[in-house]
This record gives sequence, C-alpha cells and structure tokens, in this order.
Amino acid sequence: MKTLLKYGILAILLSCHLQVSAQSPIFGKGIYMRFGIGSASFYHADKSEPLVAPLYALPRLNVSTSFEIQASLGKRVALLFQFGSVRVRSKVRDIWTTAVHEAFPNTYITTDFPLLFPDQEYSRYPLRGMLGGAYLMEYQRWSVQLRALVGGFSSFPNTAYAVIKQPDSNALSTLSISLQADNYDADQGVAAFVGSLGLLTHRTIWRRWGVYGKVEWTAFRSPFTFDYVLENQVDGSRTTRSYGDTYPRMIHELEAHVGISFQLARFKK
Amino acid sequence: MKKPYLFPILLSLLLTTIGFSCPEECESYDDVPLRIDSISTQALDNRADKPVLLPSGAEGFLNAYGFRLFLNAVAADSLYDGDFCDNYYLSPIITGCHIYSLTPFAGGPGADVSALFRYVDQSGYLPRYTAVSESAAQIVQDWNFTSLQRFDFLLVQPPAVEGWYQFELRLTMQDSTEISTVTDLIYLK
Repeated sequence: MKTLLKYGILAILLSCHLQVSAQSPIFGKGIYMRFGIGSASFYHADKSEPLVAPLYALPRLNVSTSFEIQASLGKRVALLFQFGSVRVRSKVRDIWTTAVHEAFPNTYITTDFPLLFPDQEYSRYPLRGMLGGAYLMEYQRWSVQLRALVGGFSSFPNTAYAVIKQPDSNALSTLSISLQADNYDADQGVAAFVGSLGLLTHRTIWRRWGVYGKVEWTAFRSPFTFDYVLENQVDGSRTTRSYGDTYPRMIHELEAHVGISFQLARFKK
Repeated sequence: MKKPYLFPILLSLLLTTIGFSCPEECESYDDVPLRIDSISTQALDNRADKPVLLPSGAEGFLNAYGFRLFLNAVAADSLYDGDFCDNYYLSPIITGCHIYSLTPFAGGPGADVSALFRYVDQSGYLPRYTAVSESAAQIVQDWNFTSLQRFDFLLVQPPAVEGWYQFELRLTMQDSTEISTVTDLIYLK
C-alpha cells in the first residue's frame, strides 16, 4: 500500500511536471511546494523564572524547517498548508543545571530529568501544522505575499529534579519543578492553538523553480502551568509556587526562513 | 556453490536471539520469610555531594557525620537456596528504630537521640530525610535474598563541641525482641 501510494504520488508529480511548459506564465493559478530552513526564536513570559523557562524546551535560537503547499486560486489569493518542526539545539540538562547552580551558589547540585532518557540532552522537537491564506502581489519574477495562518503546535515539556547539598554539612534540600498541562500526552506532547502572520518574498529563477525568504510571527497561549517545590529535608519546611490561569502565558515565536520553491501544477483557465 | 553449514548457523543464531530476547517469566512464586542474620554500622563522611564511608579509626566531622547500617538477611529455612521468582519479606518485621547516645551528648549517656538524626529514604526520584522513628517502615521494604541492605542515618543537629562520640541503634521486632548495633567510637571535630 505504501509503495503504491509513493509511486502514485510520484506519477502525479511527474504529470504535473509535464503539464507545465517552459512558456507558462511565471505565476498564476497553480500549486506550489516550498521547503525552507532557518531559525526559530521563542519569547515567553517565564523568562523571568530562570529555573522554569528552560523546561518549556522552547529556547532562543533554534534551527527550524518548514514544508508548505500553496494553492493559488487567482492572481491575488492563495490557500496555504504549512508543516514545520523546530530542532531544539539547547541542551536542556546543561542549561537547567547551570540555572540551578546560579540560583543556589556554593552548593553541590545533582539534577535529574525523569522524562528524558539518561543519554538525552535535548528535548523532543516541537511540531507545528497550520492552514491559512495569502494575499499575493506579483510583478515579473517577483512575488510578495502577506499571509495569515492558524493551526496547532505541539511541544514536549520537561520535569526536573535537583538535590541541593550544602558542603561540609548534612543540610540538604530538594527541588522539583514540573510543567503540567491538561492535554499532555507522553507520545504527542502538549498541543496548543496557534495563530501566525507572515511576509514571504519569492523570486522565480528558472522555469518552475524559485527561491524565497519569509519571516513569520506566531503566538500561542502556553498550555502549561508549573509547580515549584523547594523542600528543606532537615526541618521539612517547603517553599512552593505555582502559576495558575491568571498569569499572562503568551509565547511568541519569530521565525526567519529561506528555501526553494517549485511549481507543481498550473490550473487551466 | 552450496554451503550446507549456512542454514544450521543461521538457525542457531535465530534461536539464540529468540532465547536472549524472551525474558524469563514466573508462572508461580513463593513468599519466603527472611530473618536478620547480621547487623553492623560504618561511619559516614558527608562533607561532599554524597556520603562516603569513613575508614575505621578515622576522625569524623560534626556537621557531616552519619552512619550506614548494614543488614544481612537469610532465609528462615536454612535449606532454601533462592529463586528468581520468589518474594521475600522480613519475619518478624521491624516495628521500631531508635538511636541512643553512649557518650555524653544531648542528655547524657543512654539518652534517646533519634530526633537529632534523619533516615535517608532513597526509594524515590529524590532523597528524602525522614524521622528515625519512621525508618522502620522503609527498612522492611524491598528485601533481597542475597544482597546486603544499606540504610543511611545522618546527624542533623550535631553537638556544639568536638569530642569522642558513640551511638547505638536498636531495632525493635514485631515479636518484641530487639536487635542492636553500636557504632565505632569516633572523634568528631
């Protein structure tokens, strides 16, 4: 079945390829496919919580990839389907351990991440899928698009534990910070609705091939709350904090991509 | 070219792989009672990130002193030689645990100083200090037939002055008998 599907798709692509002649107009009604790579940066309110922010696994400066299909319905309007993933480059273990060392200087720190396997340094990659539309402005080989998309975003939060041991003493505290979400699933992570606005510039370079660059701003409401428990093991005293629904938990993502574009098919007038 | 030996080799490889990948399943098990066979302690130095055993005769440190309790249990039935599938439990179980000072400290020799110590419960993701009186419930869990069991007790309210100290740990069993062990006399500075 998979083989049939694979060769079926190849056959469709080939027929589309043959239908689009070299003399076709550069733009027009048709289907375009794009693949791009760039950077994705996340900005969220919890940056003021240095022990919590790394656990969102949405750090600054990540490499992201995107794949999209554009169906141009006319000279001005297009429908978009976009799928992307963010490759989290930050080493969650290292960043969080450093943050705990800074929060509790001159102590022995042992950290543990129960949701990450011992040899994993990174969190699993966030994924994003969106549908939307674009307003097209085309001139000769150039196309500029204003686009708006909505969809879903999934990410994998972390829970972290730390043992904080005073030197030359039996004094010991334990710290646990767990991110929680109602719809958390161990395999699929946590999902959230997202909205995105973007600007794309496309230039045709040869026949159906082109290059593009785009910037996108995406915002979504964090589905997470967290519980912070610092417990002094000697006297049993506890410091607890948690974020509820009243906290402004918007997460913003800024993405910049460059990539290649290919016209798969052209609709007949 | 025929290779008549190839098939048997592949077959044996396959069977070996299957044999290794199938975990042994226990169809039945027995509950096997164990009794404590030996009890001893060794002083701990907890100045760094984790407690380490102090060699016998070494000096200890007031603020980072503790001791490790070693318990060894054997099957109540002396002919029993162990089975992977069996469950083990202590019989009689430990119902109480107390630490007494044998040297002048917090009330003089013989005083119950359990409140000055904490038992380190390592059964969860995070270590947890619990009262010595609650340690009995932890000590009775997860017994193994062959391995030596270790339990750490740390002094969290040390004496103000350095000197020689010695403690006795007493375990009260369900049948009201007591098992005890005395720590090495140690100079805490």
